Amino acid sequence: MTVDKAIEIKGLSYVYPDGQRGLKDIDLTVYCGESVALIGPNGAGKSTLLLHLNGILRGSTAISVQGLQVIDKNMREIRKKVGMVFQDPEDQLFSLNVYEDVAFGPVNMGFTQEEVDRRVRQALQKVGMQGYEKRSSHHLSIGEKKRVAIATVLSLDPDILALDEPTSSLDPRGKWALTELLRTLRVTKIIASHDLDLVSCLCDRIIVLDEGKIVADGVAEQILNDKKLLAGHGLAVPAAEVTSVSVI
Amino acid sequence: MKHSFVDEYSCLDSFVHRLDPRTKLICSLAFILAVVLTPAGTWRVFAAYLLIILLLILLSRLPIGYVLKRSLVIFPFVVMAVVFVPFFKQGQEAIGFDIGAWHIAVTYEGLSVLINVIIKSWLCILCLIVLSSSTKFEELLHGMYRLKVPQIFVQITSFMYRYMFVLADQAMRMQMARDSRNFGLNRSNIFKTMGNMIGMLFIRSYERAERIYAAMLSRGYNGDIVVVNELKYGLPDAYFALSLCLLLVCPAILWW
Repeated sequence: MTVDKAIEIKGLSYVYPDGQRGLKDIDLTVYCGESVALIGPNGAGKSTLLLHLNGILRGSTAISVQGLQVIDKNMREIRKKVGMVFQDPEDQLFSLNVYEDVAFGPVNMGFTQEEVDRRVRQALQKVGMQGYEKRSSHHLSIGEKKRVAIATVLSLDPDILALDEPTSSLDPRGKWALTELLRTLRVTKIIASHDLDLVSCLCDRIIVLDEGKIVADGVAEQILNDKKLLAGHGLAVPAAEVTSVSVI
Repeated sequence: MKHSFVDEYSCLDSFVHRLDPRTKLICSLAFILAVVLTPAGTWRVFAAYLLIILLLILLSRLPIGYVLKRSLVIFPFVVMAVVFVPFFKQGQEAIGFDIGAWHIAVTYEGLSVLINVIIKSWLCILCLIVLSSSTKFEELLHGMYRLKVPQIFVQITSFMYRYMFVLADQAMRMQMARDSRNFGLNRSNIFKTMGNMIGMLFIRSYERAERIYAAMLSRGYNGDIVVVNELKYGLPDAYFALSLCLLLVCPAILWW
């Protein structure tokens, strides 16, 4: 049954161009409809792993997305299926106004003008940014930029959403608003983050990545309660400090 | 941080603002060509061209003080380029003096070249300011695209405009970070620090470019940027272009 598998990775290794080891023997299967969190300290390889999902980076082995191999021939399909939201919206929003950015994907896919318009309208509506079409991206607030960045991939109607640090540099209100927004999107989600609040709200499965390896993979609740595991990989306050804080 | 340094006032509404960007691009090109081709010393033609530009500024309702102030920006560049011409051009001497064995002389011919260059470049920059202040940058790019300007050039211009602000922010933040660590106390380090900052800015831009490219690929980019908005070429455009060209040609025929 390959259809149920949104993403299947077997034995993926990746070495950065400068010779540094990026990923080591990653085995990962994500099923359709799952919300999976990729957590791990800075430099653990979370973003690198995400970039493999739509073939921006190519490692040693084959990856398949909904049964489709990530190879040149399938690239167009793959990129329509996997919506990649980058960490810095400034990188994602490269057009002069919001409309053009959201329309960029659909236009590249060769849809008609009416279809492009419809998709842009829908995508902006989903993220609550209707009426911003003519605004220029650099004048939006960071929270608005993040929303538009998500809209730029929603306009392609992806089956899988890959998000890199969606809540970074947002204030608590912005963070919760974005979490709520992500919750309403009914697609397979893979979220790279070290924001455990976000992860516990959205994800039912957590994969802990450290130094390019998967060190844990399990049910969210179980991993979030494993303080020793989290502390061991720099994701929570070390146990000793927790007790000293509680004494104060 | 907010910036708006290229197309300030492009949101005004006037006859000139409503023209098709292609009309404005072509007319600006025609104007610049006419100015550049006018022989040196035909002052009446230059005066006529200045009048045309002033008329356009009035028509486009741009604050004239703003346009004039903006136009001053080019003087340092022009002066840098031609300031030595009066000294080297052969001809009748206007002022001359001796420093030791050297005789330094400023010639009338040289001065005339200097003044001509300054006037021509000033007229051209006025024209470009009217163009960029009366047209939104996106429209200008659409116009270039429709006029079959090579895609790569349009894209580079678009990215330049989009990321100019991001880069300016980044530079400002680096400057603040530098200043808050008491930069400037040690004079000998100034150049080293400046060099480091410029290098850092370059590396950051380079890395950002790679991330942007990845973001473009992720959304199915394959080398073409397809522009969706259609432009409308109307009767006012034709009238405007025709009358401007006539206005440009008349003084040339009369006084060349």
